[in-house]
Amino acid sequence: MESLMRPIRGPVLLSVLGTWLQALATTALLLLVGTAIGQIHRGGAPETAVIAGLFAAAAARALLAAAVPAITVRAGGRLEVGLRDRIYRHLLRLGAPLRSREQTGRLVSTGTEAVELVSTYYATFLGPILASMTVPILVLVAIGVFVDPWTALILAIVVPAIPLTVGVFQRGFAKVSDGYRDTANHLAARFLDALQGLSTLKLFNQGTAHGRALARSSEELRRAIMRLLAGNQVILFVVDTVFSLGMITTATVLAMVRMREGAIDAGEAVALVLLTTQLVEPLDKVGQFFYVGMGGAAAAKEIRAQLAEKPAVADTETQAPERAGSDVSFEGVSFAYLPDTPVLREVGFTIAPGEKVALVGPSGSGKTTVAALLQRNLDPGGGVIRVGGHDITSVPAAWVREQISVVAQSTYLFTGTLRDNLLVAAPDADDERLWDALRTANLDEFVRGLPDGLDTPTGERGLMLSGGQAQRTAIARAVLKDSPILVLDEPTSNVDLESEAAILAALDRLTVGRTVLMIAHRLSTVRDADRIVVLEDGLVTEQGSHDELMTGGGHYARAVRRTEVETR
Amino acid sequence: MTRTQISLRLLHFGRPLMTPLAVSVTFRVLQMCLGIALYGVGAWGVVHVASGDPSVIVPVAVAMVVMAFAKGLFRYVEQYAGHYVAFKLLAMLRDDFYQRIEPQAPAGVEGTRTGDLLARVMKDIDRIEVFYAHTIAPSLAAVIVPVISLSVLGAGYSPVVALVLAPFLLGVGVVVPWLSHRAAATAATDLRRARGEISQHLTDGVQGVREVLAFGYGTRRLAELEALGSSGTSAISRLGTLISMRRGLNEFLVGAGVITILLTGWAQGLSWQDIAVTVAIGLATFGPVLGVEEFMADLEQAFAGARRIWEITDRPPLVTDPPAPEPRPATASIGFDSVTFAYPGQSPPALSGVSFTVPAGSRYAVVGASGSGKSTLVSLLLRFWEPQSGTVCVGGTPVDRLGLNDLRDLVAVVGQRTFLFNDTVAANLRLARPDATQEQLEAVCRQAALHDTIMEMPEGYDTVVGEMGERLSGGQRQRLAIARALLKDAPILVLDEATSELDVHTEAEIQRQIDDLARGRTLLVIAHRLATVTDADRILVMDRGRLVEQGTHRELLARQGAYARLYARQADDLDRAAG
Repeated sequence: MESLMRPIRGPVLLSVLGTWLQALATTALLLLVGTAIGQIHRGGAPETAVIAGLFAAAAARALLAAAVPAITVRAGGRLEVGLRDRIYRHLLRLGAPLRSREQTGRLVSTGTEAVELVSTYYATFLGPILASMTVPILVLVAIGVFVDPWTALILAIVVPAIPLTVGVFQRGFAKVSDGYRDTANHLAARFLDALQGLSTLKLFNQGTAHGRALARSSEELRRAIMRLLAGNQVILFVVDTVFSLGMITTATVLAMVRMREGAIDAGEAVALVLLTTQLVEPLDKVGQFFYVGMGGAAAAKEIRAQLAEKPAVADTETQAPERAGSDVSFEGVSFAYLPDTPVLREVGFTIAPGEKVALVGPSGSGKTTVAALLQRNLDPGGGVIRVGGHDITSVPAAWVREQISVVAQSTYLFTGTLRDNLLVAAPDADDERLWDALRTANLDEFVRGLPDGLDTPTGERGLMLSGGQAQRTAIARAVLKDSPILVLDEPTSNVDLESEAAILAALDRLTVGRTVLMIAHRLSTVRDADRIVVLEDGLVTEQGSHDELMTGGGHYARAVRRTEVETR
Repeated sequence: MTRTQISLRLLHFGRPLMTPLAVSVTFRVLQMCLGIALYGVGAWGVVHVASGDPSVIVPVAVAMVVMAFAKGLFRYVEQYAGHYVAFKLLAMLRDDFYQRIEPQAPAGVEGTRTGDLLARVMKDIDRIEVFYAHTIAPSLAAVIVPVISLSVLGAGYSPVVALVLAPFLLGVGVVVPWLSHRAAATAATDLRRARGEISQHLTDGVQGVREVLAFGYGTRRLAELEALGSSGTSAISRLGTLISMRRGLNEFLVGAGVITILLTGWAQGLSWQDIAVTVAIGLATFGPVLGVEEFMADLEQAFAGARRIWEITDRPPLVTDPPAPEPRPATASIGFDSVTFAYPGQSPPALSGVSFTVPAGSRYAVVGASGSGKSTLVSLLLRFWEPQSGTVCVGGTPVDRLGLNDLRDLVAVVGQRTFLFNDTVAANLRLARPDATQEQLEAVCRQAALHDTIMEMPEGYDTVVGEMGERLSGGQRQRLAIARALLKDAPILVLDEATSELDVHTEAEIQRQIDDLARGRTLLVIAHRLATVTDADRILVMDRGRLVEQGTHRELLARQGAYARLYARQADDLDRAAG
């Protein structure tokens, strides 16, 4: 998989370079300060060249400090857009599996929070931090060249010893660190649990009692955390002491000793002391690196996992067929979600253009699977499905979906206006065509009754449609899409009685002249189909018109007779 | 609320922790001063050796080692005290939130987006905690430490140098952050808005992916997403420019400050030794001051979080106890009298002029299509909400004249969704009656056809059910909810599609048990499957918020009205009939 960071490799390298150059400018500045002090020590004034050099170094330092974020922040912004595009593109390729609210929430969080975190991490953070961590090497080289090689050498031994010591201590305290984080998470989970169950608690009059119990257990956990921290924070003590000891004290002692030996002069010694700031600061960032780095790395992992998911259906790159009829056929189709439990077994039936076929059978017999296979949300394990004569696995999935409209038990309204939501089905439609579609769907009166009409806002903060109104919107969309094949998935099972009549009338208009596959439970809807296909336990057990099937003694005839008994 | 008002309110809230906070600030200041002092002493040692006095090497080294250890120790105390404040405050914030929102429940907390709301609450509380834990101490230290440092410079070396350094420190610590912050405010708001729109667009794109694919809408969605993204990137660019200017300015001030100390010292005729020490101290003093920009962003987030939290907690509860609650009614009848109610912000009312009476001890059913208002009846019975007009009564007493606790004691509800705590089965059951004995728990579980299932679990009644009861199946959760309601032993029992997840056999078994137990109680069953309530004493038929029919099953069928149509619709169901 292509690295997430690839699009901004250039800016990241530039940021590393910029950070190094900034460190060099600061080193130059401090060396020149030492030189100036040395010159004052020898009884003169600091040379004009030195003063000019000081200002030049200060200016260079400032410019480089400004340049790095100018490059990286923008690069981060670009990376965000690129990553989100990649993620959503991939999501579309994954198709439309059934997802829970939590799964949806997580996907959105990956596309927003994780993307933002990764962009910040890779663009603005990674380069400068890695550069900062290697700055001590540059500074030591500068010290070796411009001040004193021996000091540089000894410091070179001390410098890596610091992160090593810290690392060893951190490993030793790892269990404590983990325990501390786990306990803090535990605390948070309990609190969230209590909030989510608040309504239930109130109904049992346990609201205040639970609050007291929660406060008590929270206090216990808090004490546990503080005990863990008392141990954990020892790392900080070690880190701080070692830094101050290792760097500042060692450098100062070395400066004093080397001066006594006559290897360096006063100015250089002072410069050494000042330069330890350049050695300490970057090393301090090691801690930051691990802390922020973990967040960024975790987010990157999340994104990569998402992109690695394989789609259920392998699309082809072939051309869309030019001409096709609107017949549908299933030829010996088998399918199983899990290896041992077949859902469809050699299912075969055809729907001629313009025919209306109803698919019935006990729940769990595979009816919904048939609809999913037809829309190419799934691929059959065996057999062939044809639309317009073409095997749907050998033509682009987008073309297959173009031929089919689905009216199911729910339809999704996007954030926007009612008009936007209708234009989804036909982006070039004008308002007149939209009103026509609404009329066919028996929804025009309702929309005319809204104060903003077609401009009514929809989505989470907008129009809330009842079940019946949502169905009719789906029908309006189907009218606008105007595709030759229609799949109706029991669209009136759960709507109020008045909507039901309106929906049935609208469906009657919609299905005229189209090839229809109707998945149905209701005798009243099934009865009028040209043909009924009965699916039992994954097998087609009988096919025929209502009258034909009633002469036999099969499942259908039995079920119909049973409903007649019930209604008496 | 202005930032000052928010700060004051937050500080007032954190009053009990003034002492540990003061400890944290004190040790932070001490630790930072020691850090600066280390450089000062180092420079001092170096210039003394240069002046021909090598005997100072050892004493200076020893002093620095001692100072280094002290610094580490002080840092430890500072961090420990800081964390103490942080966790104590976190607990206080959460407790406070719970206490303020508890009276508002259930209405103030219910809703389709409760999950998102709560996730945001948790994050916002964490952000407020940052105000106390990571803002107060650094900001105070950023003021106190430079003052100390400048005083030492002024008193010990040269007041002029101190005076000349002061504006540079002020620039880095106050002026630059303040300026850049104001300029960044609009860019930050724009970015937040863009990100919000992107999140909404993406949510739509995920939840509606089926429609996106079905209508070939994908390319358009990607283009829309990119367009939204570019308004985000332009805001980010603006922020980038501001950050870049801020950094550049800060670094320039540091460099210029150091140079200024040097040149001023020389112009003032200070000895070269003094110049060296003042430069070292001056350079080190910029450290604490540069940290200011880091917590400015955190501060903004904390304020935003506080505003959002207080918006929720400052709301008065929708429903409160009456000033003089009436005693518990003797009978357990239910009465609705011309009740009209609409959920806040929703236009067609959920209930319109609904009137009916359920006599004590009877068994009534409520049926209707989804959205007809069935569950709303239950919410109003329990006084989750107040109706706009009409009265709801229990035992003849209007529910708004009863104490809320008393009312809820009278009614046991099994709803469509069951909430279970991440605790044992027994603990969840005992929610209904905290002092229930094991025998009592087992008795109700047998009635709910759950006892055997529990005994098959590894730890039986002590089995932990997982977050929201996720370790149990849907059917097991429902049976647990039923058992819990039975344990409550309330005179009114309401079942709201309570057996929807159960298979036909279990449902029938539980029905039988409930029929036995319901004797003497008032039972209200809200049903989706009409076949389960055909033997109710009376059936209330709801359609789009109105009570359209009532009667027995036979009466209603004979009337050939709404009920008959509903029934036919379900009977029409080939699956069910054959099943």
